[in-house]
Amino acid sequence: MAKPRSTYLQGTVELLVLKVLSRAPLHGYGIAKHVAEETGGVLELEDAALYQGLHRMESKGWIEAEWGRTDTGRRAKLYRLTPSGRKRLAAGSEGWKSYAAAVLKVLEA
Amino acid sequence: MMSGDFWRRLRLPWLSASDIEHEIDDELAFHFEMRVRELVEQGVPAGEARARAEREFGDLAATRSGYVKRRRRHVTRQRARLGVEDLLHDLRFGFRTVRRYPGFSLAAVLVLGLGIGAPTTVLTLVDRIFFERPEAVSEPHRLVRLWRSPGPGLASSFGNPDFVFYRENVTALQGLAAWGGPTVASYAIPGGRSSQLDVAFASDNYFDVLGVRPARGRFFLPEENAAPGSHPVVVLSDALWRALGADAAAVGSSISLNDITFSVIGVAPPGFHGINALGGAPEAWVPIAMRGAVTRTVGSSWWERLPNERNNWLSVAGRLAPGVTFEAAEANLAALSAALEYPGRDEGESVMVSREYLYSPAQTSSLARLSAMLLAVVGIVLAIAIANVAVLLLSRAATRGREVGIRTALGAGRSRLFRQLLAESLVLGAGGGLVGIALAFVLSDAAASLLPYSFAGAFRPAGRVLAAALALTLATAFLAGLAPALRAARADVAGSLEGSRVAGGRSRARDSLVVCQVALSLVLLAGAALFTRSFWTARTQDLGFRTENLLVLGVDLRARGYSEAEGLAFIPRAVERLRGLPGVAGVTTSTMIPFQGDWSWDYEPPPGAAPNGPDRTVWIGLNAVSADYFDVMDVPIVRGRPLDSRDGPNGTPSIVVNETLAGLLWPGQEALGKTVPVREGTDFEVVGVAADATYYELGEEPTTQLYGSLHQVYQASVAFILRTAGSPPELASAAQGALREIDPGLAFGSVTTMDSVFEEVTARYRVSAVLVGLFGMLALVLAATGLYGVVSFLVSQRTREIGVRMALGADRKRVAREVLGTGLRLAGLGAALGAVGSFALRGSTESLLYGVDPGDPLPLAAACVALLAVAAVASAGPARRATRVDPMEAIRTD
Repeated sequence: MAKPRSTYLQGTVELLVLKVLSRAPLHGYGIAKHVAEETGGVLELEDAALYQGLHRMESKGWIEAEWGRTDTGRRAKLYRLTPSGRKRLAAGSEGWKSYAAAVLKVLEA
Repeated sequence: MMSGDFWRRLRLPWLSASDIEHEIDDELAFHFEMRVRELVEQGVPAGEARARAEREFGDLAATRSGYVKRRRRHVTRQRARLGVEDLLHDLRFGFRTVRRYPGFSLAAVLVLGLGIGAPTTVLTLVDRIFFERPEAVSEPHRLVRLWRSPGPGLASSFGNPDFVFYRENVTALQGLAAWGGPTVASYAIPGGRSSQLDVAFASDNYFDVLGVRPARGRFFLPEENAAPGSHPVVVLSDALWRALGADAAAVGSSISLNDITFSVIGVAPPGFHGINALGGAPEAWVPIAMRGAVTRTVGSSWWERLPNERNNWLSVAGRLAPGVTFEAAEANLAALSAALEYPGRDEGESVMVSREYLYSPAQTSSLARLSAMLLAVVGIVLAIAIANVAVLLLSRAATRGREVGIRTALGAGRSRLFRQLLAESLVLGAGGGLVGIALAFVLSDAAASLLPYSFAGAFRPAGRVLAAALALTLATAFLAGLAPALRAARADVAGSLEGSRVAGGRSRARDSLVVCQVALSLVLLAGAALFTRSFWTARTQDLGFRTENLLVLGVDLRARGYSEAEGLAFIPRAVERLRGLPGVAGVTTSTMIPFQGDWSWDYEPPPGAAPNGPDRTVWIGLNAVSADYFDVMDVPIVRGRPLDSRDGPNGTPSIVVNETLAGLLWPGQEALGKTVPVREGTDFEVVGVAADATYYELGEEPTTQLYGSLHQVYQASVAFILRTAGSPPELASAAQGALREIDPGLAFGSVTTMDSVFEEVTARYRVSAVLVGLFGMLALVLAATGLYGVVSFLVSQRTREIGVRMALGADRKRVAREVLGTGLRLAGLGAALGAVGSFALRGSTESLLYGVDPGDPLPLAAACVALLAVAAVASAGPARRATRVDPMEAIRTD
């Protein structure tokens, strides 16, 4: 099935996840929904890619996980941004924005 | 949330595989639950929703396994880090505690240092003795040494024809080499002064078989060892080459050995000295074929096989062919030995093959026995040291009970406590280990100098030994700290918080540890007493001749090139010259030096004699001496007269026999006037009977000796014996100088004193006596301080009780006697155990003793008495302190 094919794609997934988590801790399912909603359905993260990304980021120390309760009281694994994750988000955002701007410049030229 | 975090982290290292799997399964279950609900809300039928969710997910298996792998790695890393962190923390705690009790810690470190230093020193010796690789030899583990075994258990040298036979026919070995010597030769370089050096004789393939490469030039070629005397070529040792100026032009130059010119063909690599650990390092090698020329040997039995003549002088070693096992080589050589036939070969002679090439079988077993005994002894010392420190720690733990109780109450887990207390003994142990290793560095050389053989070079603990010392340190620290840590971790919290003194002064653990120490030290003391007695017996036994103040100079006149006539002219001149030296009280010559080999022959006596050899023959030891021999050597003449100036070249052939020989040849008759044909066709008349002496070995059976006059029975290998007024070594250079005035090129095979010779013979008994004596003393001191500590502690713990009793009218003396009695009881119990142990071990020391029975109760009894006396002294201090207890003070104190 689909596997993360390029680091670029990986990097994008990571960035989106970090951004979502920068607002509040959330579980994997919630993260996927958020990204889909905020991009108006344009970007739908593949589940496997998302969860593998979450696990990868957790072992890198950008996010940390703990078991908590949802509003409905259901036990779920919640992820939260760490200080180093916050730094990564800031740096990654900058990088991605200047990349996108450069591509846009070429495409609109 | 916070506390959840904390506990989660704490649990991390203990996550099991199934825990990890539950984690991922739960997460995914949640995801699917939410997704399915979403799909159902969108109108997808329940059954299909699940399948669709799974399809849409992607690679479920990869996600799952990826998580498990990652998590497992993380857990492992955490575990390691946590362990290390904890260890570091515990060690820091250990350091703090050690610093808090400096006196105590110093004592413990010292004791552990001695306990670890002793085994490390002995291990240094053993490592060097048995495991040293010979310098510049490649793959020495593939070498085997051969011995000619004339009878079961005997190991001897080979004759050249035998060596050649084995060399040509062996298949299991890829090379067989032989060497002989070293022997001393006078040498000179052109235009230089003459001097002497040690030269060895080697087969042409000697260096090749040993895998040695020349540092310069080359080694021998086969043709250079093909015919006697044909190729005077020499290989220099690196040391000799350097002494000659380390000149590149040395190869190709000439040197003269015993007045024969040799051409230098090469230089051996630095440090190479052959594969013997003992026996001196040769300074040069010449082909075996040159032996006859260099030593001016009469006849050719050293080279070829002659009827009725045997000359066995070669050591032989070979290298296993690739892929061949040692057993195969043994079998191959045994078969060859069986096939070797020649007239006069000993019945039952065989060949012995050994992997041990450093030493002869006799030396190996002697050194092995000694090493085993020393290792056992230092093992005991270490055990005593461990017990000693354990008692120290236990005693202190008893007073620290309060501190421990508080920490336990505050939540320190039992196992954590245990680890922390163990960490403290680890720190002490580490200190002890450092002290011990330092001791080993300092003492190894001194200890090695006591060994019965002399080894070249310094003894230093090598890497292997240091690693062993490290392991010993860790084990020691663990063992010493075990009992106290266990005790402390089990401590009753409430009880220890309550009183500042822990209830119960008497501790079984402490007592039994002290008893163990006493028992072990008694074993060592008894051993020391035994070995000391053995050494004393050996040293003080009546040898039948004197050893004090005798300087001995050995020369080989034949090798020097003297004919018999020249030798007989030289000797009286030399004796006169030596007599003229200041400080010389008497001079004689002898061809036999006690303990240094024998000249003997098998004599078939006329009827009436009592034979001591096979076939009705009598073994006779021969010694050719000059006038004054019996006077200088202090050998009493019991009948007739000694040999003197009457027995010159023109006098009647005269001999002196010893009592044993007289008794064998002419039992029950008057020996004076009887004759023995010492030379073919010439009867020598007995003019005197000398008292028996020791000739070849300490403690030998009564042995025959026949003394002839050197002028009538010429032997070219002569020793000048000088009786000196003062210390003999002071005259050594003057004596050598005096003889060199007559002959500047004279080489001295040996320059020593009779005392040294005797010392070497008794060295094997001395080493045991000194080392075990030292260790015994050490053990006694340790045990005594252990005893003192325990009795002392007892007194301080029972101060109140003692005070009460004294207030009630108890006699002070009685109190003191009781304390003393406690100490003696402990010591007595230990002594009894030690005596049993000592008795049980008595068989093991038999081969190391001389003239004493290991079951002799006297040394054991003496050791017991000494031990109990020391125990009494150790208990005296605390006993006195007990009498000084002020009853009022004692009752008042809490």
